[in-house]
Amino acid sequence: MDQTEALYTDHHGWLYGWLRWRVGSAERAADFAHDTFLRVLTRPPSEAPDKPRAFLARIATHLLIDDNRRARLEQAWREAQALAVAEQPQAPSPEDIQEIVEILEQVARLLDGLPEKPRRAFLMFRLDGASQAEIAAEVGVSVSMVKKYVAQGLLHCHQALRDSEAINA
Amino acid sequence: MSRPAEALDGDRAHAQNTPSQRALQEAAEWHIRFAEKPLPEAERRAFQRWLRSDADHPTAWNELKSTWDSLERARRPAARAALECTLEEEQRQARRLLRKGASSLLLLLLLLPAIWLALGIESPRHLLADHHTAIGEIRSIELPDGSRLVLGTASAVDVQFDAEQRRLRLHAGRLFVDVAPDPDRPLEVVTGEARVRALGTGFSVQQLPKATRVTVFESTVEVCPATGDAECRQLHDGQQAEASRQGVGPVRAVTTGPEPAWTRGYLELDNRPVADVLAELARHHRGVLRYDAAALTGLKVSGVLPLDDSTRALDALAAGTPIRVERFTPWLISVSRTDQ
Repeated sequence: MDQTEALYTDHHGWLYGWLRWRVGSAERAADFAHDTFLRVLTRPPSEAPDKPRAFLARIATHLLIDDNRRARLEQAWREAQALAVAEQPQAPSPEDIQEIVEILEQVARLLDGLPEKPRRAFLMFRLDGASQAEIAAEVGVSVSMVKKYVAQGLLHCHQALRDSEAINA
Repeated sequence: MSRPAEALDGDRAHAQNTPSQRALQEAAEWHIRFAEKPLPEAERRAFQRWLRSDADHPTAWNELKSTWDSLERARRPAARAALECTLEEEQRQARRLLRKGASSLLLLLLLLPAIWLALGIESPRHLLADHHTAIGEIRSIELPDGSRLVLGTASAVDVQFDAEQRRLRLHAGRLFVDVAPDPDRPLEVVTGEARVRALGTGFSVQQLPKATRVTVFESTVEVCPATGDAECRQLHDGQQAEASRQGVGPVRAVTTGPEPAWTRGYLELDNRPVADVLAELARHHRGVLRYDAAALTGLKVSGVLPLDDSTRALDALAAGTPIRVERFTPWLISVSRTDQ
């Protein structure tokens, strides 16, 4: 039997039960279980995992965290967007929202692990095109510190991209 | 923006290699300079010289350029605010968890013996049971036969169903079960002191220190001592009895609804001694709730209290009875009488 199939037959029931306990809803638990096995199918482990349940639980936990973050990002974006473009007559379409949330998720993943000040400096510089002087005033550091922070942010994203390519390769 | 597009790079093979950290750092600095404002001619020449001065430099420049460009799509209104708000919240949460984790771990280590003693949790068995709940947790579980099991605070149960029988082994805490009828497979709850057999029914079983309390909400159950040959007793709805090693005690009448109030997170009180109420709240409280039961003798109370919020429950109790609640930490609460 194929390895993923074996994982599925032996542990799907367990994973579903575990997820059910974590998310509290049968339907969402079924969705997460499905996505977990989809992830295993698209990125199969090179060899059969030692502890299959721990392996599946780890993937499912990542999915739960991602889902949680996606919901937060969407909520934060809706709020910020409503404030920023109050005069905009029409609300964003579901497709618009899906697209922007996907972009935000990708960027958030690149920024994981970057401390708060460099992150703020880098985002202001890169996304808003703020000047170094503006950032210095906002973050409360010197202009030369801003330069360091922005460089640190760019290098951090570069490393994160490289790591994710290494995983996907 | 007047940024050089791709640096010319003749050495393809070299481009596969990872540029040095120093080359990347310098490339990042050049990116920032180009991003901020158009560079004067002298600086552009300096950039060209930097680019040619090392085989790593073009690679570093190009790699960072693709990182830089990949963020172009995120240049949207509200994107930065959404990212900062979300990531800050996540960091705050992580810090909170860390702090809480550290302090509660310490307290837990200090309080474990007390909690175990107070609640009678046999921890390893508790955690290894098929279903278990934390202190204060109430959980509803659908059993394989369609029966509904509700586990109360700090409870642990094993589910042993086969072709002949349906057995629930209660190791700690309490349960309520709304039994799905199955004449061929009786449902039985087993504790240290008793075997409780459902004759088609809704009933609750609570493990007390050295005794088991059975309350019937619908229809009839049979309570038998777990060991010895003392007599079994039948209990009907609205009746309660306690079983110990010595046998099944006298049957009491109790006021019941269709199921116990605790399954919905409430404590219903009908002229109950305050000390009993505190004992009940303590079972749901993550920490130590200290009181002198003897000093509270004679105080009684009626009403409804929430089980999932000991702060609110104690405040309500203090509003209606002459007691004082002192909170040393959320973990350590002391209740004393004020009218004596």
